[in-house]
Amino acid sequence: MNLRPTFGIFLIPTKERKGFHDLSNKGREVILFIQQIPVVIFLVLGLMGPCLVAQDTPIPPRVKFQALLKEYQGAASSGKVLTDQERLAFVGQAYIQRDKIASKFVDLALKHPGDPIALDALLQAIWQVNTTPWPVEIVGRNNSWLRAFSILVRDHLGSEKLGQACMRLSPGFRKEYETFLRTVMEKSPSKANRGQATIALGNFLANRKQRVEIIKTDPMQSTAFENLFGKEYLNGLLQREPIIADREVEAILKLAIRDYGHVKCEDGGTVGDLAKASLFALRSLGVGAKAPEIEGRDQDGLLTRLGDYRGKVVVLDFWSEY
Amino acid sequence: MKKWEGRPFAILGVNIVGHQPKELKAVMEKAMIPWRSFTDTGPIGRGPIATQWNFPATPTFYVLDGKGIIRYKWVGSPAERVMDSAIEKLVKETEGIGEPKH
Repeated sequence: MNLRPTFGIFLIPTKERKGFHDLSNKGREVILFIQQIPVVIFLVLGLMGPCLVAQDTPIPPRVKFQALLKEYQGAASSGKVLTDQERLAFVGQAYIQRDKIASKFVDLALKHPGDPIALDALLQAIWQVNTTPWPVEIVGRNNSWLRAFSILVRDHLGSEKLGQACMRLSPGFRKEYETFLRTVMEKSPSKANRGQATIALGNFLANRKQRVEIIKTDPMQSTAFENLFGKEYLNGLLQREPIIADREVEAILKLAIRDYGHVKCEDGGTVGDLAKASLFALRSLGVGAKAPEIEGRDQDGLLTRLGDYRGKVVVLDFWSEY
Repeated sequence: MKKWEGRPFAILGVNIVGHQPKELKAVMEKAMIPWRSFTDTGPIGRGPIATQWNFPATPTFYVLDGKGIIRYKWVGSPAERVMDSAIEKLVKETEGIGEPKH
């Protein structure tokens, strides 16, 4: 059954509920998406390149950082509706472009290790979190984020900005994200960082387990994940009992509540609140649980209740048109 | 969809973008989505329904049996045949039970 041709993975990590959908759609579904809704794509242009070439007078690290950031975020409309193939190519280009700039951020941090901008540059280098198995031959490979992680762990474990970076990683899939989150959780001298790393790790593991369950149903997605994230890693995950994975998530979430319940997160919520919501999902929104009632308005403004559908099999589809 | 017409089966959407009904109706007409969908007004992905269900990502699917028990949950799209056979199995099961007695 093809429910609707407008699916796209739109991962919303706890702290970053906006603006994540630009690069996080799943390729073969987006192809269908394009047939339905015109999408104007924005192309990243390397407009700032010339600014970085002039070396007559030393450019302060902050200025270099701002130029790179503008290049990273800078976008211009292509002014046209893209076809399926064009869109896929665009995503690949955008990934590769951003990866290249990420590499420059790491270089900047290495060149000015004592400057406060080094930390910002490193955090920017890990900003792009690949949540979707885009074909590796299109999005390419780049390990600048790995270099950024090792410098962050070496020089910045106590920085208060690290907690936010941890939260950003929770919808990712890479093995190294788990390693990084565990390192911050265990070794950061900052309680705020340890707390945010703990809830981020709990959510990362929960998200990853959900992904693995999907991969089990679909050889195509399995191959894509394998190519991007490594065969050995994926096989290890596929062989794990789901119940064991759930127990691990539960233990970490409980730890987050017990030890870091009052730690504030960037959006004003606490680690405890987030962990409780995730625990509720694990225990009460899993297979075998009774679905909570939903009461609300439908697209015609009519009051609608999920419970009114009792006696029928219901596919409940959380969706967005993006 | 058509496969289960006239059988105990329904699709219900929850649009997480936060539209008011009128806006959602326009979006759904454009995308030619024929079934009912809840609006979930509020910040994107953080409306009351999304919050209650600890919504992680689109697409997320829950398949409920005739008793309202969650029987399948997928974050992401499963292979089509997997979803089809899950629905078929539950629809048959529900038809076996017959209409719930009051």
